Amino acid sequence: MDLISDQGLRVDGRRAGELRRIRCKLGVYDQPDGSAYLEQGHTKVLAAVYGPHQIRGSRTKALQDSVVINCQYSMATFSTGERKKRPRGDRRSTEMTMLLKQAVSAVIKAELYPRSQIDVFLEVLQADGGNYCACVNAATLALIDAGIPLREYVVACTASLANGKVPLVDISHLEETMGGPNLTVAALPLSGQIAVMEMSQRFHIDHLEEVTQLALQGCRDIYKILDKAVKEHLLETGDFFPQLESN
Amino acid sequence: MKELIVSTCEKNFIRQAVSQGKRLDGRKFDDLRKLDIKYGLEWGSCVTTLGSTKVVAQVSCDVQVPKTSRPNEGLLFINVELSGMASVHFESGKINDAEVKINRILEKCFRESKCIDLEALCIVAEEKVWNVRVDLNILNYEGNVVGCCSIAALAALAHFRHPDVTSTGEGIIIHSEAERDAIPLTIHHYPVAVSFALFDQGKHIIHDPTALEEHVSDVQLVVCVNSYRELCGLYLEGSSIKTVDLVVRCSSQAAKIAKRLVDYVRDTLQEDQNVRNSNMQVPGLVSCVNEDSLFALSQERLIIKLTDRELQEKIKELTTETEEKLDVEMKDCSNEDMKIVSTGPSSAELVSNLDVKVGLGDKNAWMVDEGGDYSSESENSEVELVQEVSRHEKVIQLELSGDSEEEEVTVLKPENLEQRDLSQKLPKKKKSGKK
Repeated sequence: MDLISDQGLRVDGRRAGELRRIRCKLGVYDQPDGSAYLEQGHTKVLAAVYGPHQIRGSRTKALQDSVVINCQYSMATFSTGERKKRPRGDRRSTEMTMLLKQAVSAVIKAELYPRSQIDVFLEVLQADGGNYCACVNAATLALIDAGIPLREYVVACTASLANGKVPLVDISHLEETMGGPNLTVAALPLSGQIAVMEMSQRFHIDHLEEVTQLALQGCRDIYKILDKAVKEHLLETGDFFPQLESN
Repeated sequence: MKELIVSTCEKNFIRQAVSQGKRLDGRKFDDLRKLDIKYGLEWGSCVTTLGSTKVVAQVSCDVQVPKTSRPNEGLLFINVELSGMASVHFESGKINDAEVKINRILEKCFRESKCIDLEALCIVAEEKVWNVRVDLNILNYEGNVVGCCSIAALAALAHFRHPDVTSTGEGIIIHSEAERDAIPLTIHHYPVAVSFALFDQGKHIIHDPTALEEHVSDVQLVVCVNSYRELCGLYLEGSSIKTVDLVVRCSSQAAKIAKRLVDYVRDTLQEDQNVRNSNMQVPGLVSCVNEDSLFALSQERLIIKLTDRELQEKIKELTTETEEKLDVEMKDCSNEDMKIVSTGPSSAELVSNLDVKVGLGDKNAWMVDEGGDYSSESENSEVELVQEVSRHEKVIQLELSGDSEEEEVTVLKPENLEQRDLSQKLPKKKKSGKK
């Protein structure tokens, strides 16, 4: 089975540059300071943000000039086809945690909260490819919901290469297992900066540029969707935004 | 994990040097430190040294039940051990982020890029497969550990052989090497991790950074490439970068470096194979430890190095500045300011009467023994001290790094200098007296 058919359709019927459907909701829980739920195709993620608050645990961790960002990536045991033994603590989720922290640190205005801590918790409820991307996007929404000052949105997207020539955006789990390479990019879509870049499997160096550009285009597309959701949420919650009402 | 602490002056110094196109160890930006791979007696063991970064790799295998999702594929497991031995700021026992990072990069580099034919490691589908395990122990952490680990892992995997197996229908027989030759792994392509440190928003790209350079740089980028210019992994760390172009440039540079590295690995493997084929004694890992040299365990105190060209320029600068004064000074010290002191039977020493400057050590008070037992003896012997110096050798000390404790001392032979002597800053002139 090919990743892309002669008619230019992918396994799940999308075109090469088409994203999966994204649905999201801000403020799903009362307990955390900010929370969000995000669906990207069949991938479903919950994010919760606590803080900024006093440093938990040993005070020696506190930084004098910036905030300590604590991330936790966890996958529900029922999220994958084969039941997972434990939700976190393995190498892959430790790596995910590190990359998440890197992405989130790139946008949080850390200098505003010295000697404090911000916690970002992410739970993957269903894993169907692009877990990291869904997590970053959900974390951005949750941080906005918590009212933490951000430089701009941080948005992540994956890209792949089909048959060694056609770049694909937003890879599903099936496409991943079918052997397509997987390039993940977390970017700041307005300034075009790249916060995290990671890839697995392999493709030729000559394609790197176009695959990355497609992933960045994906990031910009996702940004539009997230931004719309945020604005709608603000209207719903009743905060007065004159410039939004005029739109 | 405790952080490696670097002082602000040190940071600024390195940044400034990099912005002037210089590195502390005198390398160019795309130079690799000295790479050395030594293979052990057993299959699949090697020690890889990159500068002073040192990694031991050992590949082993056992028979296991395959994963249910891939019943006809063998297993490849990579384990990186970053203990307290590697560097002071690692605590052993705890899993630290650096270890996980290196481990994941290598897993992507070797397992997810499918460089090893795992289907060839299947013995009985759904029941028995070979589980190949690569253990990497980092002995010394001095930058570009990922690169060194990947070379070590690649060399060890390419060197490794697993025992032959026959299936009898009911069970399997694992043959020892005496019965049947062991089988090497099938490797489709040779990937290597190449790491870069980026300074000044990517204006300066440094290859093979040392621990200090890694720590000071803004962005660290690891690119895994094989010799066919295929990208097998990418890892970006540090602050965010402005353009994709930077990554593209780094990876095409990495491709060139990777090709060179893979060729080197292949050469060393071939050499090892030749030694084994010719029935010679395989040196093994003992050879890289037991060096019959006085300096086997010596370490360079100073990591700052100047290239030859820079050194020559510096000398020229110093000599031209002070040439006029030199003649006078030389005259001064050549005659009456020296005296010869007998230090024992048939030996004498030329001692300067001039004040020895602080920091270079005073004259050796232990050896000067005027009016001692020896002097009376020397009168009796046939040796007569003649006030003539037949050969003089000038030892010139060049002070390049100010008056810090770690000063670089360059000893120049007289012929290099074309009879030009150096400044008043260099008061230590030794003349060897000959009777």
